[in-house]
Amino acid sequence: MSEPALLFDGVTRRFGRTVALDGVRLEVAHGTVLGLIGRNGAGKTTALRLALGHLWPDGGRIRTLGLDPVRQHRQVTTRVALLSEESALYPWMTIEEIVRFAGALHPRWDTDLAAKLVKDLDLQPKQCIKELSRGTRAKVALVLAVAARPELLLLDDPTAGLDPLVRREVLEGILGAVSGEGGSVVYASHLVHDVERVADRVVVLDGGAIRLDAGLDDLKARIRRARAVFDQEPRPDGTIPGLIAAEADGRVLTVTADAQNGSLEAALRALGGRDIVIEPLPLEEILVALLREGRKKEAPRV
Amino acid sequence: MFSHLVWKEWRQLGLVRWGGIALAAILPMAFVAGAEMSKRGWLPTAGLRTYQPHDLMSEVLPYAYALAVWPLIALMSAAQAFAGDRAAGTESFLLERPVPRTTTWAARAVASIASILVVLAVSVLIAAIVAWMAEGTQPMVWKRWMLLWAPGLPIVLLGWIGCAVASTVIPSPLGAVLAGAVVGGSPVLVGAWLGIGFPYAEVRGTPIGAGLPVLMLPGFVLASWSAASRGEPAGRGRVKRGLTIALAGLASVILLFVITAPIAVRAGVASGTHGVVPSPAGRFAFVGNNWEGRGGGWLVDVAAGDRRFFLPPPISDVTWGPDGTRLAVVTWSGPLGGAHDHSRIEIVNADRAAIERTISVRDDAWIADLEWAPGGIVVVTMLDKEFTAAIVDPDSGSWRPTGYRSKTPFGLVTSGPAGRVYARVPNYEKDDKGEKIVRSFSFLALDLAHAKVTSPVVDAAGRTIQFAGVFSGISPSGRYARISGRGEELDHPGLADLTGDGYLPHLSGVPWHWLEGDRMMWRETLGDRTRLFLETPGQAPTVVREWRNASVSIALSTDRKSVLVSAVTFVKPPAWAPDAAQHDPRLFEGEAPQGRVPEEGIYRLGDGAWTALPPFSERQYDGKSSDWAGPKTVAHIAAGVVAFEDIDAPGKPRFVLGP
Repeated sequence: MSEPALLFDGVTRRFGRTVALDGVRLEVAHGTVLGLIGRNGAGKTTALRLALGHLWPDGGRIRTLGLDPVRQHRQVTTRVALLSEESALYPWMTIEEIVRFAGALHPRWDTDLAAKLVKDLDLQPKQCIKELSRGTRAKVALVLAVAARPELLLLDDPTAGLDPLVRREVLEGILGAVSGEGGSVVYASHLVHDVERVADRVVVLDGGAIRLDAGLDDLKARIRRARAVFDQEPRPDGTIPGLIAAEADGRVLTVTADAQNGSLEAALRALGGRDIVIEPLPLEEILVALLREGRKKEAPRV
Repeated sequence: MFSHLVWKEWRQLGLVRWGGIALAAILPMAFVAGAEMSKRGWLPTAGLRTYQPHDLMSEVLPYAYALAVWPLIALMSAAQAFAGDRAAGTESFLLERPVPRTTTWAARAVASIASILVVLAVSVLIAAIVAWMAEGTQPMVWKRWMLLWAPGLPIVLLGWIGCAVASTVIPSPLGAVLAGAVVGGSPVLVGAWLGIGFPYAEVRGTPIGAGLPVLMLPGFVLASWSAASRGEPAGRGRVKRGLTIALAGLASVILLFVITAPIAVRAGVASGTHGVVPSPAGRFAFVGNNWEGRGGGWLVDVAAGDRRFFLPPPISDVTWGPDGTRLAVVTWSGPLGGAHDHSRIEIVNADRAAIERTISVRDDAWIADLEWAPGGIVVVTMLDKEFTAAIVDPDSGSWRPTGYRSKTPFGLVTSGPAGRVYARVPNYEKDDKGEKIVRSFSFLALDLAHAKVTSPVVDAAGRTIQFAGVFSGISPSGRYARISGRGEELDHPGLADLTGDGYLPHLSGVPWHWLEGDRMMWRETLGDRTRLFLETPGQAPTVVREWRNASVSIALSTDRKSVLVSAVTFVKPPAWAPDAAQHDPRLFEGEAPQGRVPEEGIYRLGDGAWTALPPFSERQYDGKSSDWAGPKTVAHIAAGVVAFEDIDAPGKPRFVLGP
C-alpha cells in the first residue's frame, strides 16, 4: 500500500465563477479517520464527491485507493462508499427492497452484514422509506454504505440534524464496521464535537483551501491556553513562543500558543507574569483560535 | 444487475403505466358521453347532431388512441424514466454505486418502452372489445381496423426519442414532455422543409429530404445516451453534450442532404422515361426526363453519346436555336433540387457546354411557351391570367413586347416555311351541355422584326382559317393547312389549300405529319390492320406498309426527309383509335407491302427505300420506344435507359443513360 487511501494533489474545482476547491493538497493514510471540518460551503462535499469521482477536478490530481476516480470510476465506487446527510433513497421502496436492490448493484456486498446491521439498528424491513424518520433513514443509508464493505468510507455530515443518541449510534456503527476493520474514513462535518470523538487527524477547509491539517492528539497536546496576571497592562510581543492569540483584559493576559515551540510558562514569567494558569483546550476552541489567527496571517500548519 | 435496474425503473413507471391504462379505459365512455351530449345540444360542437356508435367506436376511437393517448404515454414514459430520478433527487443513488451509466440508461429505455407497449396492448384490446360490442349490423373489417392504428407507431417512436433527448437536458419531467414533443417533431419539420422545398432531389418519387431526417433519430438516441452516460457523473456538461450531439445530428442530416441532393437530382432525372430533342444540325440533342412534367436532362453530344451538361429540373420547355448551337430552356430550378417561384430562360451554349445567359422574366410572370425563330425567341408569358407575347434577343437578353394581350390562353407553333412562328389562339363554342369547348384555332403570325402579332392567317378569299387541333398546322411550303371541319363536320378535320378555294379531297380524319414537299404521312387502324399512308395534297393516298395486330408509331427526322417507323405487337387499341365507321373504306382496299411485327425501320421519302433496324420494342406498352436523335441517329428509350444508334451502323448502341 504505497499510495495513501486518498490523495489530493493541488486539486482545484470550480462551479462557474465560484472556486470550491483551490489547489488543495491532502493525504489520508490507510486505516485512519480524517475529520474534514469546515463551515457550510467550505468545500467539504465537493472534496468528497471529487474523491468518489462523482465530480471531476478542473486541475490537480486525485488518487482514491490508488485509483483515478475519473478514469476508474467503477472500481472506485466498488471500493468506496459515500454516506451523506441527505442520502438519496427511493421513497417508494421498503427497507428490505432497497437493501436487496443496493446489494444487487455491489459486487462486494455482504448480505449477512447487511442483515446484521438491519437487526442491530432496529430497522423494520417491511417499512417504506417514505414513512421513516430522518434518523431511521440515516440508519438505512448507513446499512447501504457499510454492507458494501468499503475500504474507504466518505461521510458527508451524515449525522447532521439527528438527535445525539442516534448520532452516537450511527457513528459507532460506522467506526465499528469500517475503521475497526482497517478501512479508512473521511468524516466531513461542521460538528466539531463529533469529529473530535472519532478522528485521528483533522483538516480544516475554509474558502476552498486547507487552513489546518494536523493530528488530533498532537494538536490537543500542544495547543494550550495560559492566563497570567501582570503588574502593569501587559504587552505581549514576539518573545512568547508559538503565540496564536493573545488578549489583554486590564492586567490579565490570556494567550493561546503552540507549546511545541518552548515553555509557555517560562515565557510569561520572563515577561513579568505571575499567578500563571495553563490549561488544555477543547478542539473547537483550538480551531477557532487557529482560524481567527490564520485569517490574519497565513494558513497555520501545526 | 440489469434486471434489478429494470425492476426499479418499471416500478417507478407504474403511475404512468396505470394512468395510461385508465385513460384508455375511460376514453370510450368519454367518447360516447361527448357524442351524446353533442347530439342533445349540450355541447357547442360544430354540427355534430347524430352519430353512429359503430363509426365512433371502430373508426374514431383507434385514431384517438393512436394519435393522442399513445404519444402522450410515450412522452410521459420517457420523461419519467430519464428525468424522474433527477426530479425526485434520487439520481445520485445509482451514480454513487458501481453501476455503469450505460446500463442504467438501457434499463430506463427498456422499462419505458415496455410500459408504452403495455398501454398500447391494453388500449388495442379495449378498443377491440368496444368495436366488437358496437358492431351492430355492420360487420367489422378487422384487417382495415388494424391499419387505423398504424399512424400512431411512428409518432410514438418520435415522441419517445424526442423526450429521451429532452429529459437529458431538462430535469423537470413536465418540461421534458413539452420539449420532447418539440424535439420529436423536429425530424418531421425538417423532413417537411427539405421535402417540400427541394422536391426534385428524390429517389423513386420520394424526396430524399423527406426521408433523411429519419437519421436524426439515431442521433437523438446517441445524444440522450451520451448526455446521461458520458462525462462527469454529476452532470456538468450534460446539457452541452446532449445539445451538441442532437444539433450535430441535425447538421449531419443537412450536410448529407447537401451532398446527396445533387446526386439524387441527377438520379431522378435519369430514372423513368425520357424524350429526345435533337438539334437542327444534329450534332447535339437534349435528353430530358418526361416523368410528370419534371423535366431536367442533359445536353448530349450525339456522335459520342456523352452527356456534356446537366440541366436540373424542373424544365417546362426546351427549344433549339435555328443554327443548332444554342438551346433555350425554360426552367425555375433552384439549388439542390429546389425550385424558384418564377421561371427564367437559360441560353445554353452547346459547344461550350455552359450556360451562356440567364434571362429573367419581367414582372415575375410565368413563361407559358416559347419558340426560337431566326429573328429571336418568341415567348408567351402569363401574369394575372393575362397572356402576352414578346420577342427576346438571346444575345442581349432584351425583351421586346409585341403588345398582344389575351385573356385566352394561347400557345406558339412553328409551322410553315422558314420556321415561322404563329400564335395559336383557340376559338371556343358551347357544346350540347352548354360547356365551353375549343372549336378551332386561329394562327396569328409573329413579325419578329417589328415585334408584332399580325392578323390571323386567311385563305385566298380572305376568310380566317380555322385550324384543327394542335397537330399538323401549315405545310412546309405554307400552301396547305389542316383545318377544322364546318358545321356537322366539326370532328372531321380537313385539308385546305390556302392559295385556292376551300377543301381538297382527303379520305382520313386522322392527324398527319407534314413531310418535305408538302407530303402528308399518317397511320390508321381498321380492325387488326394498321396502314401507313403517304399522300400528296390533291392526289390519292398510297399505302407505304401494312401490319396486322400491330401498334405503329412514326417519328419525323428534323429535315422531314425520313420517317422512323416502329411496329410492335398490339395489346389493345388506344382509346383515341377511330372506329370503323370513321374510316373511309377505300383506305383499306387493295394490297399493300406487308410488314413484320415487331419491326423497326426508316422510310426514306426521296427514293421510298425502307431500311430495317433491329426492333427495340416488341410489344405495345413495354415501356420502350425509339425516336430521332440526329439526322442519322435514332435513340432507343426505355425506363432509365437512352441509347443512341446510327442507322448506318446498327447494333452498336451508345448509352447516354443506363443500362
